[in-house]
Amino acid sequence: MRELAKSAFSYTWAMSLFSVQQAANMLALSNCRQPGHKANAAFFSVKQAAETQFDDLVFAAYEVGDELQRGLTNLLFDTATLQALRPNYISALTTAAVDQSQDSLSTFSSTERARLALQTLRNNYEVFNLVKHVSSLLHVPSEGSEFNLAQLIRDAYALGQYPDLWAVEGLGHLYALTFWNKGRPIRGILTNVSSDVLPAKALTMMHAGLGLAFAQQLMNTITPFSAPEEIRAVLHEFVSLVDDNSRPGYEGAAYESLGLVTRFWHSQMVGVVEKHMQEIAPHVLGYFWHGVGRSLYFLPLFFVPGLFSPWLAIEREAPHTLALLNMTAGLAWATTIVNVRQPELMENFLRIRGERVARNPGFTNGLMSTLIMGIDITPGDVYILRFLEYQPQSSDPHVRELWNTLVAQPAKEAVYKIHPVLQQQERLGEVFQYQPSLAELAARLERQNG
Amino acid sequence: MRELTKSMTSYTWAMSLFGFQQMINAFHPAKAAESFNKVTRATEAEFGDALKATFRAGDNLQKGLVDVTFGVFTLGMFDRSGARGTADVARQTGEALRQGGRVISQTVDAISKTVQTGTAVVTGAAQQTAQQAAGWAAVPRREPSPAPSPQPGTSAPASSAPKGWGPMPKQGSQ
Repeated sequence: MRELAKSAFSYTWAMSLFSVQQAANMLALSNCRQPGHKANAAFFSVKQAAETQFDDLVFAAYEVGDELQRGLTNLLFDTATLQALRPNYISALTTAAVDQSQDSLSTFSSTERARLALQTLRNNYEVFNLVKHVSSLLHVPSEGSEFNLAQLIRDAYALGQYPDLWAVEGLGHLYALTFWNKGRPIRGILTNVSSDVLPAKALTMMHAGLGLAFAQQLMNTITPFSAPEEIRAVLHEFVSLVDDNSRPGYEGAAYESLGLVTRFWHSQMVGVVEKHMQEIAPHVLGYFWHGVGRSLYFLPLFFVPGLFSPWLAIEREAPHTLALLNMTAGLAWATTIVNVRQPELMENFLRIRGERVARNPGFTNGLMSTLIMGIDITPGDVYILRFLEYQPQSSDPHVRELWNTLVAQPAKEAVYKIHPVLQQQERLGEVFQYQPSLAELAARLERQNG
Repeated sequence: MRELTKSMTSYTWAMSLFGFQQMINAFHPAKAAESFNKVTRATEAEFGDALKATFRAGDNLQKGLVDVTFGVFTLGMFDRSGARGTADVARQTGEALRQGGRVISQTVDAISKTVQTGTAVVTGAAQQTAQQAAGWAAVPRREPSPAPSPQPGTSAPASSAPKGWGPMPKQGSQ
């Protein structure tokens, strides 16, 4: 209690002085080209420190509130600078509001649809819990104890089809952290392990987990206000760590996690990371945007179906075509695999948004990629096989047509034709970014390697 | 300005939720104290030297006072080691008072430093504005060289700061 009192008084004292410091920072004219830079940076650092102390629910409340206040601030400034009075601005704003209202109304327009929305929410919550509690589910030993990877992978698979995927990703994350905590240099985490310990089927999501660990640790060391050379050094370290610890052909799975971590926990850094990554490692950009798209599915703002649509957010957030295609593929990836056990959820999605996603090839690409990854990590996955054979319940021929062209045919091609090639060529990391044609990619790889 | 507004609102929202989070954490005092400490450390890292000194002095003072208060309220002086407890309280009070004196002098220092800094910044900015108006905007701040002083309104060689203009402010040095 005494320590708590001291800490509380220290905190209060620090906060009082912080306002003095910020007043000085705002008045300082030391950097006329970037007014308020120092004050912004200080606000960011303290806010980030507070953010790391939040529980899940408080973090969710923070994220939702923060996204809303940013949107409102933009609107306020646009109105003050008369930009909001331009016809195209008003038109875009109205369209966004109408789209969002339509989306929400469609989601809850009937009892059946509300039931499906509730099922989606249940799936999201289940996955959230699986990811959060993977350590206790698998009885992962505490720091310093021996990490028996072979046994833990067997335990992850013993959780059954569907949970195994998330458990293996979580295991990759925890396994990489044991190396991180031992200190540098970190090399060969997934390359120096025999196939007896690390079966080929676990490789994709183990790499995804490895990337997640590196990205989380490194992204905590920079802010949007860090010096450009500092940001570049951190991104360079991320790319080097992935290259030094991944198996050839699987790096993409690890690169992709950078986008997920950046958008989920450091949303203000997305543009900054993209800008510097273009100079350091442009080949990582596609994976990065794919991860950004995947993270949208799990963001608290979009967690409850029907409130805000991540599909509309993509159209607002994507700065260019590469980002749009990859973000769409990433979001389709998450939407498909989280709801793979209930194909009727995908059918319902097509009923609501099918027309719109049909115009973006990223959707089908993401769906194919996630099924390739899913069938690779759980060979013979009963849920995926059922998904492939599903017949839409709807009598609407348009919905059936959309199902066939956007889902059924591409999904079968992905699982039965493309996956075996990528598996044989050990290039499954390629599916973690948008590919204009996975079939062509598979054919090219076959040609190259005989 | 737009970014600053967003940062401020974001910060205010985060701090409000942090307060809420700490109310929940109150059932786990150790966790709550640790959370306070982490945010305090992050805040302290943003202080300039003067404020850092002020913070530490005030922090030591309040910690001393908390110890004294808890010493009294937990009746530490009535147990077998009461004499030692009383001596501790007296010592802590003395230390707290000494630190109080230090706080005052450090605060005065801090204020005067801040005022000096502010004055230098404002003066420097005013000079820079005046120089820019006189055609000196392109003058980078480098060591003087023997080049002749340029005429106002012409582009100037790098180092020809003429007498009477005072020192040029260094960008990013405040």
